[in-house]
Amino acid sequence: MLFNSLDFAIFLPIVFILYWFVTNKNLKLQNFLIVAASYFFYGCWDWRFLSLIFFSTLVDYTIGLNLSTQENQTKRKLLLYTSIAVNLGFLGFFKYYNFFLDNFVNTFSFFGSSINAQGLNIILPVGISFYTFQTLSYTIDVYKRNLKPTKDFVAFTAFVSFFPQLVAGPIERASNLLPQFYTKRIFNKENALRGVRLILWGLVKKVVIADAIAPAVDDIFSNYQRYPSPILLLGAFLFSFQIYCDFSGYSMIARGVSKLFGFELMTNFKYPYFSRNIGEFWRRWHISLSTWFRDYLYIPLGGSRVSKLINVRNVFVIFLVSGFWHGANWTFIVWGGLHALLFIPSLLRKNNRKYTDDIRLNKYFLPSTGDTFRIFSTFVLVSFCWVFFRADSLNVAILILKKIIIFDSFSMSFLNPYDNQPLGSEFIYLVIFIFIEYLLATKIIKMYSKNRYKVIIIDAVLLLIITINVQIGSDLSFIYFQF
Amino acid sequence: MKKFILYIFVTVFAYLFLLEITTRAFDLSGHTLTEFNLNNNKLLRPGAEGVKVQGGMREIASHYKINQQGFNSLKDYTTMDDDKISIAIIGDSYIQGLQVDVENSIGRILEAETLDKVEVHEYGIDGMNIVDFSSIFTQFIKKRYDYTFILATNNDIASKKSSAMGKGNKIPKFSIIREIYDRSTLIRYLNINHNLSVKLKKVFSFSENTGQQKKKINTMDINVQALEEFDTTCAFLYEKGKLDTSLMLPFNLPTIEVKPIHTPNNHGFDSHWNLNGRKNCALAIKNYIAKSNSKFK
Repeated sequence: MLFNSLDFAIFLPIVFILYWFVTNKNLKLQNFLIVAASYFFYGCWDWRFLSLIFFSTLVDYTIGLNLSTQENQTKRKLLLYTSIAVNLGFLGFFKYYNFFLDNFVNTFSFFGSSINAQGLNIILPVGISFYTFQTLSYTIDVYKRNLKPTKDFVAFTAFVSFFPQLVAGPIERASNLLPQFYTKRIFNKENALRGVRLILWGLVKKVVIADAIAPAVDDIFSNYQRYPSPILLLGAFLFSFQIYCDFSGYSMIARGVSKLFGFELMTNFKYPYFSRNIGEFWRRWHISLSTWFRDYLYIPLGGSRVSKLINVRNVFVIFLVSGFWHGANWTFIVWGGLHALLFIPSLLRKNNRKYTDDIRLNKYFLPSTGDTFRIFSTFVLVSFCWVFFRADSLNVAILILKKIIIFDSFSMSFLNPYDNQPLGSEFIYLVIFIFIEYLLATKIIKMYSKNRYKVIIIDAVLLLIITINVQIGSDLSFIYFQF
Repeated sequence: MKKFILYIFVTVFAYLFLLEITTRAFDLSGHTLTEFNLNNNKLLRPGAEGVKVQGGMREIASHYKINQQGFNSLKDYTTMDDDKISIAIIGDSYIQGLQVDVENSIGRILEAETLDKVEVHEYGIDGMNIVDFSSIFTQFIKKRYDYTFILATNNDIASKKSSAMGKGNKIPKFSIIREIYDRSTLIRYLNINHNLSVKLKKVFSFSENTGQQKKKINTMDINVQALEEFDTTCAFLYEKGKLDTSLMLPFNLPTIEVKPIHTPNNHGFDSHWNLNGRKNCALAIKNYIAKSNSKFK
């Protein structure tokens, strides 16, 4: 069930009504409703994989309880490793089995031996990378005694399977989300209105921008051989916006839906394309994943409180693992590696945490020339890296980048970039969107308003824009579902 | 909570109001095509003319004109020029051609391609199948035309019940839902572009089977009786992969592949190949006649 489907438009009000009008007197019942709704929501994709979520939940719940009573450090470690093995075992099997097998066979072939090994026809369960990391964070926090384990199985199951963020995050920490299942939720109108605005703005990002430019991106990346450099460059830039609007749109909808049920999820994106260097970009992009890696991988490895050399190694490790988390393909690993390479110079110059404030504007509401240059150059570098993320293979990515850098033509076909579907309204929408994002990022305007008439008019207009721009007959699923 | 529910209602109302205004102002819903009972056949209202709009932002806006026989065509099928080769084309929505201007239908393209050596009449109604095709052939075409071409798929030749022919009495004389549908541009917009009725049916039936199911058709499934109605002037047109030509062998009816010479210029929401599809079809017919008719050369 997709957030941008009619099924969800019917599902959501039904769950909302049951939640606030039928089960509101009993917290346990409310949590149980969330579990039932979440399992139904997930089961609409493939009910067979519900057993996987349930098993993962059961394992981490049991291990959590045992960790709290166990004082023997060796046994505690064993429990932690069991949880890691089960969760990463599922992930490894469903997501990476064929990748490792292929590379194993290729390596042997390279050295002259041939191995006959057949890959498995494995379906990747939707959202496995997200809920696996979420449950892992629970066990690790309990192991470190940063969090008390829960005895409430229903609340824990609801935490693992909470439908707004089950399939594509944000990857919530147990310390933030789990306690919210223990306390009685009280309906807050202002919060719910903010939730609706987040849902609508998320849908605009997904439907009006991401889905509209998707055919152009698909066409350019599939037929890169016949397109001149400007079009390939355009393809890279367009993909930057497509993936941002697709994923941040999903995260906004997830946060909005959660607000309707009285939950607060973390902000996953903070206008990343207005970053002034790569360090700032990673503090604004997919925040729930980057902070997860920071807390559970980078810091345990020593973080920055080690020698420069080890610190650089640690940075490489988290970026490479982060790339690999996205998919079983070398393109993702190279993408991660490139980001590490871009990040390390600022780390060595100790200015990776230089830009933690908002962009300062002059009296014309514009950033300084220096900031403008830094924002633009960061965007270009990030877009170049996205080519690896989007391309089907390393060879294709290298060919595209080579063609862009050689800049073989100044073709005016920019005006009509691809054969079947010329870009028109998509460009206008994109420019308007960037302008609005700029106003929001620089806080010239606010996402929410207190004027009720303004709220109604803006929300109705957003709904209208979504309705008119839905790409009928196209694949409307979210990019991050595949991860 | 009361205030929030009130906000939801007011916002939805404001949205519907804005959608109605927008769809009217920018003509995003086009005109409604009404079904009409003609000799107990469910065809289209003769004399109707307008623009059929499809796509969220008028991606398709095609001119249609319904002739006196209830089909989308610039011509009435009452007279024929004896000096020309007469051709009838039967089919479903592809032949009906509401995705392109009626001036660019297969018939008109074929006439232009052959420098008016042929006269083409198109008998196409959305959703028709082999039962309707054979009925059209016997009622309107048999012994009147030099050639008859039928565009069909596996599903078409396996159908046992007609969809339009003989179904004229099924058209309700007055329907309040129809009235609302005709008058409200927003409902039409949502139905045409978002398949509202189909989606609602699907959601409430909890089933994936509301759309046409693709199934393997074998000899046992085909409608032999309907296929036997066609004579030697007939030939079947098909798109590769959509008609198993071996199923047609027992009937001794020629089959002609519509080759994708011109690539489809579809939109995501419409798979009719549009203008290029019509050109491909016209070229397939032209080549077939050129091979078999000396008068044509």
